[in-house]
Amino acid sequence: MRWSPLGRALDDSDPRDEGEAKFGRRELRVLWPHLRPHLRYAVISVLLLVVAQGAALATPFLIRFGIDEGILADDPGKLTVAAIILGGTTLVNFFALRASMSAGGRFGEQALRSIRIKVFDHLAHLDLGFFEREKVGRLVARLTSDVETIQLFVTEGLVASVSTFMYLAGSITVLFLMDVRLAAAGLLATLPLLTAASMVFRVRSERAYRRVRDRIASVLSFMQETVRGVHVVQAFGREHVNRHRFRQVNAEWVEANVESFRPSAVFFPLVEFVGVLGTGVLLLFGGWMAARGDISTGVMAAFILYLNTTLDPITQLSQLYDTFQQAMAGLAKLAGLLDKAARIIDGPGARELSAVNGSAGVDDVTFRYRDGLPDALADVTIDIPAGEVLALVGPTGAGKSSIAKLLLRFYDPTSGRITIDGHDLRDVQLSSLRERTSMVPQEGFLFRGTIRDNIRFGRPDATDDEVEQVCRLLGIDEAIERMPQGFDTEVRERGAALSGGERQLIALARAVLVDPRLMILDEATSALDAATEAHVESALRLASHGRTTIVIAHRLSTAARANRVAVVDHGKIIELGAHDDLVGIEGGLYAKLYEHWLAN
Amino acid sequence: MRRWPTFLRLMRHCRPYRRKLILAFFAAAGVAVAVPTIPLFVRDAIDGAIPRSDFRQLGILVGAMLGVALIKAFFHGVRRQIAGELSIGVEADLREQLYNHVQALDVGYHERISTGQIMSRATSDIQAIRQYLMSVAWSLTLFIQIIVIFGVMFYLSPPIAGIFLATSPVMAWYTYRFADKFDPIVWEMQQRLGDLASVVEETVVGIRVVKGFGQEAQQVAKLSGDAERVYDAAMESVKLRAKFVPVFNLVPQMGLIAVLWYGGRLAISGSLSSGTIIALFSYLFMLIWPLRSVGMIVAWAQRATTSAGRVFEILDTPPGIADHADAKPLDVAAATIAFSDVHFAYPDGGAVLAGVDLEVPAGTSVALVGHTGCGKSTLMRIVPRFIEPSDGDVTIDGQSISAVTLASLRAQIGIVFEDTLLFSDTIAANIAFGRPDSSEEEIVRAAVIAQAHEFIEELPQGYDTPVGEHGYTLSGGQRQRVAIARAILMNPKILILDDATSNVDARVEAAIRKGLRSAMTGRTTIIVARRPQTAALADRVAFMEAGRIVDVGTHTDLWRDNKAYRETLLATVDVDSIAEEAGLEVEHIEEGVEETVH
Repeated sequence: MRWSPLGRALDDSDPRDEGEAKFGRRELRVLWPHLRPHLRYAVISVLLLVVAQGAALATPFLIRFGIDEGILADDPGKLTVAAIILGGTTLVNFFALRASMSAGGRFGEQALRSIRIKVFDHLAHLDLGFFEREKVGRLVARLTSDVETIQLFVTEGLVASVSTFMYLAGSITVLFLMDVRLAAAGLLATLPLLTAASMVFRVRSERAYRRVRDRIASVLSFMQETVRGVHVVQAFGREHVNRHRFRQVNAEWVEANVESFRPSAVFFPLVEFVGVLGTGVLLLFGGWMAARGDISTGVMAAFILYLNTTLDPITQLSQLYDTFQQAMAGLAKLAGLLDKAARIIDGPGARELSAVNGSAGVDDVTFRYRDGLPDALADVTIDIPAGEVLALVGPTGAGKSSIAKLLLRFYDPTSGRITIDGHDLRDVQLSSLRERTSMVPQEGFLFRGTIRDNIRFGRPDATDDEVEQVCRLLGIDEAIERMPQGFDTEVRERGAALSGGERQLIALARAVLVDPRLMILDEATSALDAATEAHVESALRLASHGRTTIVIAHRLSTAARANRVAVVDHGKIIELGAHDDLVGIEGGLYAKLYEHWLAN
Repeated sequence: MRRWPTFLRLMRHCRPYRRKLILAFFAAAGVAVAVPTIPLFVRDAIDGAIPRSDFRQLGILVGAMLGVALIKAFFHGVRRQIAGELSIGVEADLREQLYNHVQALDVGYHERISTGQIMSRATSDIQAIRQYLMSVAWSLTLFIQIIVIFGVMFYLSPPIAGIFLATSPVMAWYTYRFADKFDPIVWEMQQRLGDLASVVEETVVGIRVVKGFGQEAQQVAKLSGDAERVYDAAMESVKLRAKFVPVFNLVPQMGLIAVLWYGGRLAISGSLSSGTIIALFSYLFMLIWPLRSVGMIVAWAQRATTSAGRVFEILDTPPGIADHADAKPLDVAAATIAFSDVHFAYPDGGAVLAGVDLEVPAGTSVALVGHTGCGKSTLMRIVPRFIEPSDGDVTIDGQSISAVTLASLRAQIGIVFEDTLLFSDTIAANIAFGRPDSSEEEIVRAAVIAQAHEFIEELPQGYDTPVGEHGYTLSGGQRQRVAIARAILMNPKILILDDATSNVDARVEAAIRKGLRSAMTGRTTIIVARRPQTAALADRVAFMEAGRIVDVGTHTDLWRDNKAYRETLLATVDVDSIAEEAGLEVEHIEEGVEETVH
């Protein structure tokens, strides 16, 4: 079992998500600021609904008036009056409902728009650590599937639900106005039963809907990952295995859903039955009262007639219920995301980093990615003077990338401090730090858009001339101009029309354009041929404007060109100095590596 | 009118559930029949039992009414559960079909459409379809209910029922017009939702670039633009809906007025009993909600149809690269690869390969060397048919790769991509990616050859260590070795290695090269080399320039004889020429330093 990926338990639902899907006060507190600005339209919509429902509620009274004063009193004139007024209230209802749907829709869509933007804004500003722990697909599911369950409810059912609820509330009020005794009797006969049933129901159905949201995230996450990596899937002929696995996760989602229907398949028919039960009780009670002469048959007839009309809205509400519950579960998930605090934020009184020399310091730093994990770095200290090119060398997993991530404050050290120009990074405004530093990772990730847009990514206001100059410097201008639309060629997803080397060159151009004072190259030239790599390195130095550069190098040719080399092993700096000096250390790790390299 | 075929096609997806559907319809009919009978009991009670104070009869009536209500509740429960199962079933099927189809579509298609767009169809579009399908059985209840109520009203008073009937063509016309306008709006909205999903997806995938440049705001601005467009489309739909849906409230209301005024006159003149009038009212009241609900369902159906069209659009896209009708399985004896006059150009112009001729005899290896952008990667992508040459042919053991089945072709090729993408699963499962039924021994053997075994054993959970999304917890060099093991495990006849050893540290590099050499023995190998050491691994080297092979020979020979070759693999740079090319003046740069540092 251990070796079969198919036999692996598929339950990868996030335990931290448990309990988040219940929509409660905490969720409302988180979402409230995003709803409040649009509340105006909600209020307008509700007021218009009050008008519409008021007009609708007049109907039974007008009909009673028509029957009592017109038909029974043989007065065609009063009958006509009743009919005309009824026509009037009908039109009022019609137009008020229209306007209310527009206003309510506007509220819903505006609220949704700001929730979308806020949630994404919040997500984008969470620290890198969060993204390294979460699956891409799950995060995407939050902002697509979860938000869209809300969208579905807002566009398909929000106003309908509210108006139905109001109609129901209005009807009950009218029943009390018609006859307090009958209304009270009806309420007494039904309310306790309904309350008990709905309490049981709520607990069960919320649990089920929570599971549905978790399962759909698993489905989508599997889908996202394998679609993005479809070239690997196809290369390894893995389609049939994925098909099988997709069917499994999908089936688990189906199962969760079917469970979510069970409570409502019992509850809503029960509610309707209780409604009829109320009618029955009223017939008996009313019959008894009528026999005693306490009530007229007409009043009773109108009352029960009216009571029956309250049953259908319940059916409609019950049909919207699934959509509603999904939306609430989705909303709760989003609130959970909004509630996650970013750990890497500006401290109180953080200063803007203005003119920067680019000297950096790692000061007695120990770092763990998470509590419980071993130290990634232990007591590391390096001073990097402005303008230096420092190469980090060492076996994979030694801690080179961790140093890089700390220097750009993707993480904060567990103890010790990281400085730039002598300022602790935690006392510096994050945005000003990012403006003056940049990191080029290995993958050369490109966004959809033109090549020009991709190069401009870090400095959207750069002119075309600046973009082209940077490319000339790196020697990629000719290659780009040979492409069908030159700099305006669309980069597509996976950027497969470009080779890995070309993508890395574009990623480098992107970083150079920003002209950072501190630049970190993390295996950023791995896919370049040796000549291009050397060209790029020289070009970078030429246009460095005295910037500090940290190169994570696997090729000692790169290290040899650096001012100094730091050899990292097991989370510690074990050797530090110029290439020539390190090579001379008898039995030193660097000397051994270099010997090895020369031998090849 | 393409909406009807789409709608009917959607309905055909319910076919596997037809027994459920029939049962649901049966239950729905049960509900529909039960609903209008309840007021009959009420009427009898009010007209008869209560005025006569006949409590025995009243008791019987109430008891019967509750009995009917109980049956109705049962049917309702059944309908609900089954309708739910049906709609979920169809949703799951559609998503699965979509997924399976998308997996089969060629890489070129995936470059054109973003993952976000595909995800969006699998979520928001399919959810909209489900929303409607949930109501299919319910709409039957409503339909029967409306018909029955009409029937009873016709029986009670033909002229009044006639007035009602007259409104139905108007309603039909209105609905038709609504659907016409609604379709493009929904399409637009769903499309924008897809764009939005794409921004989210690529931001999360590329989060390190976004954060590295502190460009969160730029991505948020992109998303806001899409959210704005979604909002605009959604508001169009809100407005249209607000015009359409209330009309369904208007109709029963008109009926009430007609009954009151016209029926009232009939009652005054004595041709209608007051009991009948009350009954008519009570039926009209019963029409209010069903009609209102019909309005809602029509809107759902419309949206579902548009969304189904979007799902079918993908399902109907044929894979750009697929088995030809008479494709045979690849019959590999020794795997000699031959490229003859292979050209490749993107549809919009740029030629990448301009006539490549190369033969790789069975069991030998060729290293491709050339400047970044010379066409090495493209040439490699042609062999497993990720892309197809615009001209020329590639054969394996004399069989054209376009004439054999894709599955048999790719089964013979092990590929190490330069981006070394791993999936979120254990390391063992990632190595066994192409052959999930591999034994523990096979997996370890592959890892040993790829020089990955040692570091894997040192990981906290060894081979069971989960590697996160895109293998985040592993370093680039470790990822690459897992990717090599993954290719080796396939035990392919053909090995394609793209830059396999470029970012491994020097100490491990030599060891891997040793492993690779043993993996390459007996396999036809094409390797993209960017270092002299890697090029030296191969039996022969093909040196490429601008989409052509300009020289072929052993590494030693080319290294000795070909200056351009040597320069490509050697890191020698003339700084002055770079400055000249870039149009930079050295003084200018110095000034720049002064400025920024000051």
